[in-house]
Amino acid sequence: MKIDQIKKEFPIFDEKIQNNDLVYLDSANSSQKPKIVIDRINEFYTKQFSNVGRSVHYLAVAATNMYENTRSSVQKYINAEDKNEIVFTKGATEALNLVANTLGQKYLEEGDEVIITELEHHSNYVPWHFLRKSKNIKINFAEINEFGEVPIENIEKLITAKTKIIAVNHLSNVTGAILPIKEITELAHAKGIIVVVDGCQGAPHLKIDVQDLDCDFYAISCHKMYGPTGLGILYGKKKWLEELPPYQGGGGMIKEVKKDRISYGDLPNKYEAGTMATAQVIAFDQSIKFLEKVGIENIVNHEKELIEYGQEILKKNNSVKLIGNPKNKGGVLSFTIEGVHPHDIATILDEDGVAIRAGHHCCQILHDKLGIPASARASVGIYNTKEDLDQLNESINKCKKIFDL
Amino acid sequence: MNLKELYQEIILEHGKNPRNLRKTENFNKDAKGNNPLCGDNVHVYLKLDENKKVHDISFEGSGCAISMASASIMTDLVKGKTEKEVKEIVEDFLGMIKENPDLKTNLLKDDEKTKLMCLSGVKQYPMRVKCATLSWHTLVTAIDKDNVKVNTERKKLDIMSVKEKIIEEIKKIYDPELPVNIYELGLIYDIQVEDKKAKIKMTLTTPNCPVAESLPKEVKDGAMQVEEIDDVDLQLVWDPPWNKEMMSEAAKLELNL
Repeated sequence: MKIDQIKKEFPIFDEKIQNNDLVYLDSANSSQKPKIVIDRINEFYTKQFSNVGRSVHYLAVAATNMYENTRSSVQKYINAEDKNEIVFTKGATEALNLVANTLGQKYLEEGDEVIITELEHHSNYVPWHFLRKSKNIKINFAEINEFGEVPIENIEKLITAKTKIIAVNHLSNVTGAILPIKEITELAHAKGIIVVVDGCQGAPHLKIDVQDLDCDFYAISCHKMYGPTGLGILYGKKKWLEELPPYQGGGGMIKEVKKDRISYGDLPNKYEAGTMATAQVIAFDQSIKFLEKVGIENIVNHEKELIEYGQEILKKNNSVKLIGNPKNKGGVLSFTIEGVHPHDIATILDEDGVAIRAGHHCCQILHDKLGIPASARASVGIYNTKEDLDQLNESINKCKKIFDL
Repeated sequence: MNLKELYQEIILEHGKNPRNLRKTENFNKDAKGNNPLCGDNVHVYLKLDENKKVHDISFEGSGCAISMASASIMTDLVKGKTEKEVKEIVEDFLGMIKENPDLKTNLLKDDEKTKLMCLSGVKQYPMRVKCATLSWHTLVTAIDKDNVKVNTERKKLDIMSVKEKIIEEIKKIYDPELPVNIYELGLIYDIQVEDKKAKIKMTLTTPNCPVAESLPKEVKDGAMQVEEIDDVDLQLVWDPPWNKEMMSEAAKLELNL
């Protein structure tokens, strides 16, 4: 696999960013977009635009077919059993809010318990927190170990007769730990517990087979998968999506509306109220094509190699402290430099064209646990090379020099 | 864009060795500020003398070199100034950081202005402007907060709202055997708020209550959830003993009594 050639498919790397070549190490935040995805958006708006699922004119029918075609591609890509198990949302955040809200309405009783982990992104904590207030449920946090991973025992020991849901991320956006979803699902289902997976970092970096994982819900962020922003996907087992109530009301999600009664549409329309992110959905089909062309196995291997290399060079760099050393690690290198605040690191690296993220990465619970207010994070995508990580290391050295370390 | 302009010697020096990074004893105004973007936080303490002049100012917190240096320089410059003067300096500083080419105030000496101008480099980094301004906004909040306290009517209101916030938290706690929260159940006898301390008197339905240990702790933790509360003094009392008449009408209704 030639990374140079893959990188050429991303127009952004032809740009000079403040006179520098771009060293983009912020893909866990959002990935760059290949030309085929960008072109598809342009083409759709230029030559094919219409709203979907409503009118019967030529453009509307064609657009609807393209839109539904992406649904089929996603179904195949994550190996869902049924096309209608794929719901488009405005993001993974909305997908997780949809799950928490509808499960909360229909399924949770006062005093019920939800287990999440200390690794969770705020979008897999705050929606459950809402149910603390509205339904008086309890949230229990499975603890991380010294390596920044959550061993399954730490989840298992929190399970009580009142546990109804386990909501976990697939791959931590801070420590990079990959959670054993299949084992968690086996454990949970044996006790009748629902498993919700925040797959924001999982889907771009790992092979996803929802039937094999057997989770009940899996949330995906398309813009982290070389796709457009404003689009997420909720996979939900058909039995759940059929049983749960709608999330938002509006056009497109109804069957019949009368003054005294309303009936709702069938799946997946029931969950797609209002005009959807049509162009994004249609362009996302090209993201799936790109991922299939490169091959997820190649992506996994390439990124593994990068992360191992990055860990190796940063470990040798005095005063850099890596966060999390999980056995199964993907995608991210989070670190701190003793004596330099992560925001200062990010600003100094930026001057060399090295784009990283600094802050708490929407994981305040985890940073509190680690006893640090913030961290710096370099994260990789298919277009990154070892040279990018060498440049990261070099810019870190410059940063140390400025701060006289 | 020039990194050297941003990380000047004076900023690095103040960032590493911030002045007044401590807590003023007997402070009479304070405020907390935080930047949700990065998790940086600052707590500014002020001690004003009878003429409303800043007798002492200090801060606690953690943040990047820019925010620490900014707070450090700020605390050095406003000492000895009156409330009104402090506000003028803050306004001038914020104006300079946002748009003005220099500082206009006559309240600062030239060398003091030079120090502040070192922070002007953040103008080129819009994402970092908040780092430089966090402590200054917090200082104004502290000053304004005190004005609220000067007005006694407002003070009462303030305490009421803190008390109400505590009640809201306590209402989230349920007796494990009853579908009614413990506030409606009448288990809370008294709540008093003094400064940042809450004094709560509560009882349990029976001294043999299986949650005798956990429930008071839950109440304490609940009250601590209220931002304005730093300490909770919880007293578990058995006199008067609890009886069903202490329940609210809503609770009685819920339990079909």
